[in-house]
Amino acid sequence: MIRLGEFNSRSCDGVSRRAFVQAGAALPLTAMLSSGQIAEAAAKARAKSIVFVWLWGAPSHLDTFDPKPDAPMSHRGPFGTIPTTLPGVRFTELVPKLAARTDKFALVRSNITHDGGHPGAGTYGFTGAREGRGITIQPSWGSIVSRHHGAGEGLPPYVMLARGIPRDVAKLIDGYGGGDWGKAYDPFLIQCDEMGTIDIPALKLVDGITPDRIAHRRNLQAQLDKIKRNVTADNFDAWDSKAKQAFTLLTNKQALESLDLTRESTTLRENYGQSSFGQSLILARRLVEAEVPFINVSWSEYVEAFSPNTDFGWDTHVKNFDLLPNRHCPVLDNAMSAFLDDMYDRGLMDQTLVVCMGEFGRTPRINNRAARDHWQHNYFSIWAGAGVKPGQVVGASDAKGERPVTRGIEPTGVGVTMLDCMGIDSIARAELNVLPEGEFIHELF
Amino acid sequence: MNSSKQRLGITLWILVIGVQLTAAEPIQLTHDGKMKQDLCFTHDTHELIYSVLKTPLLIKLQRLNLESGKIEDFHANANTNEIYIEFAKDMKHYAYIRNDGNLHTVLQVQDVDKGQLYSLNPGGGFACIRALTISPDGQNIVYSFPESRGSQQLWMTDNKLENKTELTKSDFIDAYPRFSPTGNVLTFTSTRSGNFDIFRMSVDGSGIFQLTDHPGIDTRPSFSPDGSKIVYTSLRQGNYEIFIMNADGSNQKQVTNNPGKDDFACWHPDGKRILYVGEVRGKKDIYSISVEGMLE
Repeated sequence: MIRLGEFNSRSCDGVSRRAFVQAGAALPLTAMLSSGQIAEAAAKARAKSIVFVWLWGAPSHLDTFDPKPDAPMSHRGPFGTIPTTLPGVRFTELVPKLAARTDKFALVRSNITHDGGHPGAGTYGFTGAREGRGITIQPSWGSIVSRHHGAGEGLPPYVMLARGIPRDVAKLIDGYGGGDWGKAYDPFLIQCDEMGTIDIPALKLVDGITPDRIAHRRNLQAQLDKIKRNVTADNFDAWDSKAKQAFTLLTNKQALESLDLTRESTTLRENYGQSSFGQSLILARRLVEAEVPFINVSWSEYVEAFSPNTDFGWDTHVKNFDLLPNRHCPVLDNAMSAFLDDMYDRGLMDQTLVVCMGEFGRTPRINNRAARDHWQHNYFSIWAGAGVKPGQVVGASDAKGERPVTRGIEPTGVGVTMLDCMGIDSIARAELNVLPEGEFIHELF
Repeated sequence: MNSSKQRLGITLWILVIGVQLTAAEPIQLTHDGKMKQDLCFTHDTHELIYSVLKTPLLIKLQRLNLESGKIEDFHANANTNEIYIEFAKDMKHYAYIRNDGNLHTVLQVQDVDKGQLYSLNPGGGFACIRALTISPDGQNIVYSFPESRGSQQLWMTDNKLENKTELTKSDFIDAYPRFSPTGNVLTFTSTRSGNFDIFRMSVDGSGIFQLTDHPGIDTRPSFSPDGSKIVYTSLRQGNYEIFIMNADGSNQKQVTNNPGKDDFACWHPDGKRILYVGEVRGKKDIYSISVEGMLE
């Protein structure tokens, strides 16, 4: 039995929670998600794609988009602040290009979450739900979109651009994929290195094919032809679902071309910067053009926080004030600015929702290691496209960046807003039995 | 051809040559575009050492022979991140930082003659030695490390990494120390002015003197080979550029002017050129630029 009364949201179109509940109650449950209704919901949806940029490890909000120049030195840190294009709104000096582009996105300064550890907060950030032993693992936003929209031709509906699933040392976050829905709804992982070279780990699951570089299309085609000759209906069924997706993708010329960054101009690729993150964002834009509904770009698994064989990303418990100016912020500032420019220039933002955030913020008080630790009580997110009103700051934090002084935006609210924008409204979510709570971030629209 | 046309022709030729010479600066020394930092000469005029993100999971120290252009790993067998190397003038000792665990780095000193490697572990848990400098005579190492209370101090130790002394006892973040060529002065970055600025002090920690004062980041100072100048990185114009100044903080001049990030500068041993990592068209490579005309 689906309890519609628990659903608490507001759609991009401004329809209230009550209206949804009434509409849902008037329908027999079996009719709730007919293909016609899905099509109607999709038509209403503002976004055809979501690009979910995940800053794994959790960036400091005070040292980037929510500086506190009047706080004591023990909190505000050593970075200066600079004006943005918004009167009275300042960022730190580490993100000058994004400061010059605040007319292209909205900034939320009042995000909160409910877990101070990476796996738990990561799962909250991807699913809106808690993780823990014996608890049902909820499907991630991408998996919900994937199930709702279904697979298209060639490209999988939920693509994760990363070196791997976000993890804390060996512990993968539970909420990265399909959860209890099964691996069929897991993200399709594509790795993109700093040169824009693509690797697809799922191909390793396909017997007889081990192309390390998709760019070598001639060799790849020969291998695919060989596989086609050997594949029978029986052994195709035996393949893992991801291997099937990989094979389907690689035998679809158009899909394959979407992954080929050599088709981009050199100038554009240079604008994004020679970093895995930057090149992954170009790939994300190409996947938007190919109408992939959910693309997760994850700042993941590079040597960025001096953690051999781990995946700490922005987890700057040490060297926060070294790594941010030397490396993390210049890469983020460059790549995200180029991405926003590129998306707007191509007219893609009307149909794409871009959300950029980590799993939490970092301690406003500088720690004993002259850095910052985890802080789940306040952090930021960046929103653009799909009807989001750019050039505004939503919410505010207190004088030290410790807690919001406005309504705290929870992960469930992030999820509800993203899903609503994709036409997955409370009725659809009820049918799928996901995300029973969450307050739509109406201030963004 | 009359004489006025000849003069015009000569003038144009000089202009063209002049433009070509100007266009040749800065000189690009690497071309792979990979992320690089921590440039340092071996006190040999043709060998530069730096750290580079060689693979997505490994930062290695590499040596670039400026005469042959050959690049090779400095520690061929290193299998974990190594950064921030500096050499004593006689090349008998060098010090660097090695990443030996999650969010943990140690300071290492190599005694080249004895083949002895010394290591300073800053303690358990998350603990990173930040940056270091080795005295020109190779006897002492100064490094930055946060001991407690949210501040970060400069520490001095001998080349066997014993007899540790706290040089700066402050509530601020002190970082990126560099010895002067005589070994009796240190320049470093500190937040004691409210943001990152450049300071200098005697090697015993006394006589702290502020050299730059700007709300933008000024950082990573390094003395010229004759000690009269300091090169540093500044974000004062909204972009990371290389600057030089007199060792007393006067006569601050901008060296680079590139839309990308210019950082991690070091002096060529001849004192006439600066080498740095420049981000040009999205690629991070090492460049060399003459400062000969800026040294007056």
